[in-house]
Amino acid sequence: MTLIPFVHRLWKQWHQFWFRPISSAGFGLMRIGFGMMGIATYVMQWTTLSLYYSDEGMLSPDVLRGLLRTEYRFSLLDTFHSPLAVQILAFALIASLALVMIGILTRWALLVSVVLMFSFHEYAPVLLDGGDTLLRNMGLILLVSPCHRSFSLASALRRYASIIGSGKDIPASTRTMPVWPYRLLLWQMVCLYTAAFIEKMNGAMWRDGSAVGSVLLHGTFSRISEHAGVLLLPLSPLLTTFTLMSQALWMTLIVLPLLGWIVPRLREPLTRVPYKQATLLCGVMIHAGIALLLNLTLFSLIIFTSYLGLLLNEDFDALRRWLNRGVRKKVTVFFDAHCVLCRRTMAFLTLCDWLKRLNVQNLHNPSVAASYVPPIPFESLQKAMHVLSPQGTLTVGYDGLVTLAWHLPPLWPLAPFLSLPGISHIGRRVYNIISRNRTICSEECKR
Amino acid sequence: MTAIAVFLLPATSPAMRTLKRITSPYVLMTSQWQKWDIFAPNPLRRVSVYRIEAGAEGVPRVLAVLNPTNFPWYEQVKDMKILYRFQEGWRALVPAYLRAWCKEHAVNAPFVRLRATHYVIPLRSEAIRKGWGERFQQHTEEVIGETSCAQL
Repeated sequence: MTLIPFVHRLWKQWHQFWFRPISSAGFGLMRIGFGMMGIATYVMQWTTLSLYYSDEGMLSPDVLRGLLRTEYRFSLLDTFHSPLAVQILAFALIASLALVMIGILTRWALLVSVVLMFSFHEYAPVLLDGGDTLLRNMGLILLVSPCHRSFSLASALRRYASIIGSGKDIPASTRTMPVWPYRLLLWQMVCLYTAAFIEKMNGAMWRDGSAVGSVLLHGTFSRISEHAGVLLLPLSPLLTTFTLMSQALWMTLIVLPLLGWIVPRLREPLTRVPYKQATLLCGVMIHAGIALLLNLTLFSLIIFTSYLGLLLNEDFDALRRWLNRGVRKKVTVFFDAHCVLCRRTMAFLTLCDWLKRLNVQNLHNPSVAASYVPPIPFESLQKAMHVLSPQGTLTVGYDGLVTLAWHLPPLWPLAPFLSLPGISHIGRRVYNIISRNRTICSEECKR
Repeated sequence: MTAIAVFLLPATSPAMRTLKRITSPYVLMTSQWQKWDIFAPNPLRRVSVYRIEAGAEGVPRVLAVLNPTNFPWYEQVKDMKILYRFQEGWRALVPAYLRAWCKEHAVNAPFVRLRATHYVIPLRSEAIRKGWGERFQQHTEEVIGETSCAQL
């Protein structure tokens, strides 16, 4: 009789382990990074495509025969290897990666980009480095995951249509995914760093602390002068040890949760230990150092891209809390729901509200104007958008948009320019013209 | 997940070899093969500069010098790594590389070779004993491949 509850409990734990919903935002960001890194890789190789991948270059099929494995190997370039064919395939790869990055036809674009990227990699493995290998494995994980549910143009358009039509965003549950792709990625990263740690521990230079110093003196890899490399040599043991430690830390991401599962009373204390944050932070420091001091092209950026996929709800919440730490109240936006353009603008601004700072109020709601003391005249509210900042400052029209831009992360790059004297003057005039000529519905606008 | 871990582990026992035999097809077919040995087991201490030469041995005419500064910044590391790999086990590709180079630069010569000149960054203990300046004195040269570009 106790068997059934035990099996049931086991099934629930199994289901929870593989299928509990998590935010798909991390994978959405990783998808964008994958597209960007893939495009950068093949754009940079464009001038050498013929040399490395075609039958008129150094890696013709005749040369490669006997050097590459033949079993379980597939590459489109085995069949299509004329210089023109290689360029067409590379262009198709770049185009599909662009679609992946934007998030349109994402599944198909990922399938095409993965098949093509694998074809290029399988054709000439001699050209590959660690960044290419990670990119390839990342692509496979993205292909099988619902990474299109966040930060994609397709999902943004669905949300936009919902906000315009019903005034409400689509449920947040549509932007979640089961946890198993995250587990695949985590496992891949743990395998990567554990294997790298073991390989390095087989080397005398890593054990005696001279490895990092030697790399900094290497003219091919190091960005710094030899004189600077010699000056940094005394730091080599510290940097070498830190590198090894940060790689070994990744094992805690598997070992500690496993320990918590085996010993239930350790589970809760272990959740208070920020081992994941520490591991990622050390990884960021190491790879930022590599990007600064060594010329490994895109390697560090590809690593950072993979880290994005490891961000969960609690990480985004923590980031949001940190970014909102000085913001006590929300930004209140008064807009005209009878105005078609206003509704579209508010839908767009809502999509940009990653930090959840906006409190959007329809001015046709009788209690709205009264919520601000002294009350804003209704006639004034109708003429332009009003924005009440957390500090209590009221800005109107274009100036209100500038206020909003500082609170919406996608608009942060624009925010400093919108306040420039010449730009803001033009902006106010354009806003006033648009405001005077906007379409007003006789009642709340219907679709 | 298991297959990736098994792929990365060394085949040190009959059981592991059997596991690898079972899981490797899946890993290879899905192109999940991987090896994470960047700067491992030890960082590369050999610093090389390459020259493409034409003419008979003993009377070489240098056609090109290949060091990081000769490549665009975004190709530097990749192209230099390919040259390093030629020295480390891919020598069979050198004649094809030279022929492709000759075609790109319209070179017509009976003997074309790729020569590497390198020095080795000393281990700290050696450097401390000998002093830093000495490491530049000991260069080694080697021809890592040659071919004919006579009929291009």
